[in-house]
Amino acid sequence: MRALNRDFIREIIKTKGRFLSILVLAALAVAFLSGLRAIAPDMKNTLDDYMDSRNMADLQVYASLGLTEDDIGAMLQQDGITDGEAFYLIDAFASCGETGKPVKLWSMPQRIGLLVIREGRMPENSGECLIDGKYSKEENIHIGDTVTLATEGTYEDCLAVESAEVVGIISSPYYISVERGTSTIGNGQATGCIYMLPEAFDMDYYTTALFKLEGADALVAYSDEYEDLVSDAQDALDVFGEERAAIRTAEIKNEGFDKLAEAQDELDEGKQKLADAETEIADARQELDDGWEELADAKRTLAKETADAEKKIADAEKELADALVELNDGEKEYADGIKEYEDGLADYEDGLKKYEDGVKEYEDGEKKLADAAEELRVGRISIREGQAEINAGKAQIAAGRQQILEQQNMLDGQKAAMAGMGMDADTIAALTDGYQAQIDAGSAALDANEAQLAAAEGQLNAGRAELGYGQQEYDRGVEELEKAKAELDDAKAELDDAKAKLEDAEKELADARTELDDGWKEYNDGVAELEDARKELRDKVRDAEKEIADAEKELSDGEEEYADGYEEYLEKKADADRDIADAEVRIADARQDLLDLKDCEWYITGREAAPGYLGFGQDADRMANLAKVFPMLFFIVAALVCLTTMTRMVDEQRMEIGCLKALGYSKLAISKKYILYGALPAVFGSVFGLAFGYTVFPKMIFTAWQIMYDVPDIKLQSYTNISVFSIAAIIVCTALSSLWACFATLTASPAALMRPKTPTAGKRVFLEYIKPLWNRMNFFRKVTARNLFRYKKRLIMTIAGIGGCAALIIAGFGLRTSLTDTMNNQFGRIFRYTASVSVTDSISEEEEAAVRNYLDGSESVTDYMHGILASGTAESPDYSIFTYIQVGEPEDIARFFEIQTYDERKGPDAGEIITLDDSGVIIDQKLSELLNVGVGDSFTLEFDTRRQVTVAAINEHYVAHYVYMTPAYYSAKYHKPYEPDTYLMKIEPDDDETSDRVMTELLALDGVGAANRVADTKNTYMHSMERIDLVVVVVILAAAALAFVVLFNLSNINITERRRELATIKVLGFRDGEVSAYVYRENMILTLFGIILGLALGHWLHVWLVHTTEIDLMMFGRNTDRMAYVWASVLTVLFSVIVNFAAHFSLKKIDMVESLKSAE
Amino acid sequence: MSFVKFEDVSKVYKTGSVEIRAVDHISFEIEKGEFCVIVGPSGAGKTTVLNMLGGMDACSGGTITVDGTRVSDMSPRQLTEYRRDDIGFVFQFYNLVGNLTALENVELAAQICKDPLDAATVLAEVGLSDRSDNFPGQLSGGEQQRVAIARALAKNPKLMLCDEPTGALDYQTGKQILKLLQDTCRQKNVTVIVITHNSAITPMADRVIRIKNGTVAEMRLNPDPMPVENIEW
Repeated sequence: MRALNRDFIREIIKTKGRFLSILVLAALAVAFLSGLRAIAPDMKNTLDDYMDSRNMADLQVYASLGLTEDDIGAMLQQDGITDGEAFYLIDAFASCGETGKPVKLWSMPQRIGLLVIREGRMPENSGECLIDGKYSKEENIHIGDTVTLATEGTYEDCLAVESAEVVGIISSPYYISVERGTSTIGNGQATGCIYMLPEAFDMDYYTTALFKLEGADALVAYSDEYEDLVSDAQDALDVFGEERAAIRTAEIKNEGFDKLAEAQDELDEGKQKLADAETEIADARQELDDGWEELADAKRTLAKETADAEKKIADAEKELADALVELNDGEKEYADGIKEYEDGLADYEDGLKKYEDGVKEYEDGEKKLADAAEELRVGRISIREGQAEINAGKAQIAAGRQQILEQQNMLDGQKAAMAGMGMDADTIAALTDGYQAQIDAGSAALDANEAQLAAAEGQLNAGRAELGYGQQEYDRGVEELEKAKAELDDAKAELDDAKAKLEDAEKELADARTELDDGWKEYNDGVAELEDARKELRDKVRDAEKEIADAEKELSDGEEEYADGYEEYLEKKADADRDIADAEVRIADARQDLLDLKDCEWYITGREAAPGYLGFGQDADRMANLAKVFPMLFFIVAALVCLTTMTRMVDEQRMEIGCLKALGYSKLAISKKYILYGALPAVFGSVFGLAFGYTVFPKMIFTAWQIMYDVPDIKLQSYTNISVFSIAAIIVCTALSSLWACFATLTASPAALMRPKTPTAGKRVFLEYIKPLWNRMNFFRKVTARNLFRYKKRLIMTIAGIGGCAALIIAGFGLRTSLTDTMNNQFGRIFRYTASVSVTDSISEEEEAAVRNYLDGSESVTDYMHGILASGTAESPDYSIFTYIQVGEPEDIARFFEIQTYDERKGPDAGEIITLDDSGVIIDQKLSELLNVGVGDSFTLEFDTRRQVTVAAINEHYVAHYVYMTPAYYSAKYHKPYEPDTYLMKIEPDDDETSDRVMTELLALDGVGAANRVADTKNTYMHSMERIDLVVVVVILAAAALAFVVLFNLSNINITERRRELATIKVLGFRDGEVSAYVYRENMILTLFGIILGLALGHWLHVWLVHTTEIDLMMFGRNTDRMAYVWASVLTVLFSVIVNFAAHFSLKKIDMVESLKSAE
Repeated sequence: MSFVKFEDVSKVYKTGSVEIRAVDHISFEIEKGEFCVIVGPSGAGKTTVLNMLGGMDACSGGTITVDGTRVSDMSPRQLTEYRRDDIGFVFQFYNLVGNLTALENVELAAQICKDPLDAATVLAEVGLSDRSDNFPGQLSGGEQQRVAIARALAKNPKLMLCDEPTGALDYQTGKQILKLLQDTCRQKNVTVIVITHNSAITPMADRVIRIKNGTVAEMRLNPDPMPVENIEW
């Protein structure tokens, strides 16, 4: 044995390359197997540790009307609940400079679901907050920035602050993925989560509470035990939850009604105040009106009385005027009278004067006479002479005198006549005086003439005249004196008359004067009176006017006040009316709401409520699925390589084996070497493989997952069962391959072994029998044909290897297109709508109408339907799964969903349209597979209550499960009235901007609860699908590796086996190219056959791969894209070419001399 | 002018510091149309000489000239052409392509050379026309060797190189083969060089070159070669 062992060890040392290749391949195979298999449990364990370390909840309670301290306390009393914490959780808009986006706003966890602080510190007051890392990155908000918060809708007024400073960036165990959940505001998707101290919230109830279950921490997340523990707890707490919910409902309703009563009272008070105000105003108006009326009256009165007074004054004035006139006339008369009197007096005086003069004159005259007489005498003498002449003159003068006398006589006659007529002296005097005067004047004139005569007679006349005159004068003088005397006596008499008259007149005048004076006095009195009266009137009017003015001013002021008051009143009344109307509406609404208030419902969920939790588990499961399939490939490759290597080795060592056999070593002893040669590197390789697999693969793949999930680094673990299985598998693989390789050789006789291996006998190939074809084939083609079939093992292995490679590529690419197909089919074709919006249970008629109006009126919404979109569970005896339930009228459903039959072979969009009717439900292909039901079968559909439903048809559907039914069927089965609560709508254009806008507008309407855009759902799935790309890459690489390894090995073996032959033809003079072509031709044909096989198998492999990587919630497209086939062919040929190229160099290296050396 | 000329040819194998002189400064000449036998004990270097002559191996020193062409200066590609058109090789272990019939084996060689002879004719000449459709596995050793000779002849070569052609054959068959070679040499005026360790054959040759320890120990001409039938060993 020792020598044999030494041989074995030397063999290893001599053929290190070969040994190592097996070792490496074994290591890879084990690494893949252990690594891929370890990922799922590693992922779950890592998450479980994370959840445990942050004391994450096992149960979450959400109550539709909120939770109270009592609820929390009661819950903590329940069996199995070890701890609980209540939270404020609201939807709010958060912004930092830009427009606000919806976020989830939580109160800080103190015990359950603790946050991990990545940067910064905990908040110390209500003005500080923490934000999550993803949100921070996306919105570019950092520590120190201030976030503005705003609320609306359900959570309006729930915040005590309007902004908060970011003091830390955190990770939350509640949000392990990039999803933050749906929101009731904005566009319906929360973009981040923000944590603040409870003081920042202004709410009197809690939104949600988290609880821990006893014994949960010891169990691993996602494990069956954990899931059972949680679901048992949920079931146990069902009744409790209902009780608490009922308590809450009663509480709310009572509170509500109390508040309503208060509000109503307030409202009534307010109304009353308004009425009072109205009254006040009315009164004020009335007062003012009365005032104006009074004023008007007063004015009127004033006017009237003023008019009267003025009239009276006017009359008085007139009277006075008349009196004045009279007086003036009287005065005038008087004045005339006076004048007359004075004239008369003057006349009298004149007369008197004249008389006196006359007297004087008389006397003078007398004197004169005397003188004259003397003169006369004297003169007579003289005159006589002259007298003659003067007598003429005198005659004249006598005539004149006569005239004057006549005149005088006339005058006297007239006077007498006048006196006889009764004229008074005055008058006469007045009348005659003048005449008298004239006479006088005439006399005077005569006198003058006489004088003249006298003068003339001066001489004579002076003498005569003087004599005559003198005589005359004397005579006349005597006469005159007599006349004069008479006259004087008349005059005197007259004068005395006149005097008497004058005295009478004086008296009369005096009387008149007195009368006049009296009259004047009266008049002046009258004027003064009038003046007084006027003054009085003026004063009185002025006073009255002043009073009126004052009164008017008062009234105006009053009016102004009133106007202001009225304006205010109107303004305030308008507001008050509005407010009152609002308040009435609100009270009415509130009353209605209270009456309508849906009873509080408790929802007790496990961790699946946290976004991303379920997804993580599913991703881990998907990895587990992959781990079932993939590593096998590498095992196959390892086995193949081992097989070929061993075969080669055995072939090379035939002679030795023969020798050993001849020496008498047993088959076992001999085969031990080869088996060990295969198994030993496998064992060493496994060790490396496990080390590598448990560390590198999980880490590598998890790093990719960490892009999507915010969880700590993976906790690497080794798993004994996986390790044992892997090692065992690879050892078996290699050992068996080796055994198979050497089996044939071992059974041969020693002699045969020691002889050079007989070249495989030439055989006719079947092609030769097709004479026409065979004869037409060129020589080298014939060679190729024969060679192909000569090495059967090689033929099979090559074709299998190539076929496998091509199939893998098809499966890989196929898987990829399956996914995109799935998405495209589901979201582009099957779902024919853009978004859905659901309304709350408590929506009112008007609110509902408002929603409908919006949908009808919006330009962007081109079509919509009303139905129920709910979630439930589909169950069969040993399987249950989450499903959506879409209830709607068949015509609507047909417009919004493409429901057609599905045949896996035909692929997508190749079925017939199914019309929904009342005969049963339509379920999707995958669901029917999972539940194992067909058309006509029944299954349990839990949807509030559990009912058996019948399958009417099976349709093509890919993402999540959908059960369709008509309203009639729904009502009949679930015994409930059909109350649709979801609107599905088509929005055009289907871009982010339009959809976001419509969603935001709809969410802003009252009664709208949630909105969801189909594109968002698609994106969520797409993200998770992207991870599959990693898988695809791995597949392709595996395929490439397989192809290379197999081809390379086979090629090598081929060359080695035929070394002699190849050397011979080299010797014969085949050029290098020809030698290579000699080999290539065969390779190419084999490759071609291999590809054909691969193409045939590819589809099946693809379907198989899809089946294994699919998760229950989805059906991937099972259609294989044509491009996959193209790729497979192209890539496989490429690999072949590369291998052949490498082979060329090997061929070149064949040393003719060495190869042809005989076995000496 | 000699047809084949070896001038001071050496072949040295160097493995590390060890030098193995397989052929050590050999010089000889062979005339056209001669039947030359190169004889020597095992490991003397005979095969090495043949290989170098046949363009299968390069020499480490000296010159080899064949029909005026400096074979030792040829590049591998040129050597391939040289082997293709000018050389016919016969191996001790026949080295026929087992997957081809006798005729096809001959055709294999004929199809690549410039001026071949008709395969069937040549096969007939070696007396195997009725075995032309048999695979080598179905032929006896002698028949196989005859096919190999036919293969070499079909190329219409300048030089026929035979490395222990009778080594694997019995006495009678061996003689037959040698006769065939001799006839070919005489009738077709093909220069035939036979390597052997069996000195008994030497009388049939026109020229005998005795090689020992990588050198020419002796070279003598045989003016009167004996027909093969008369040789006994």
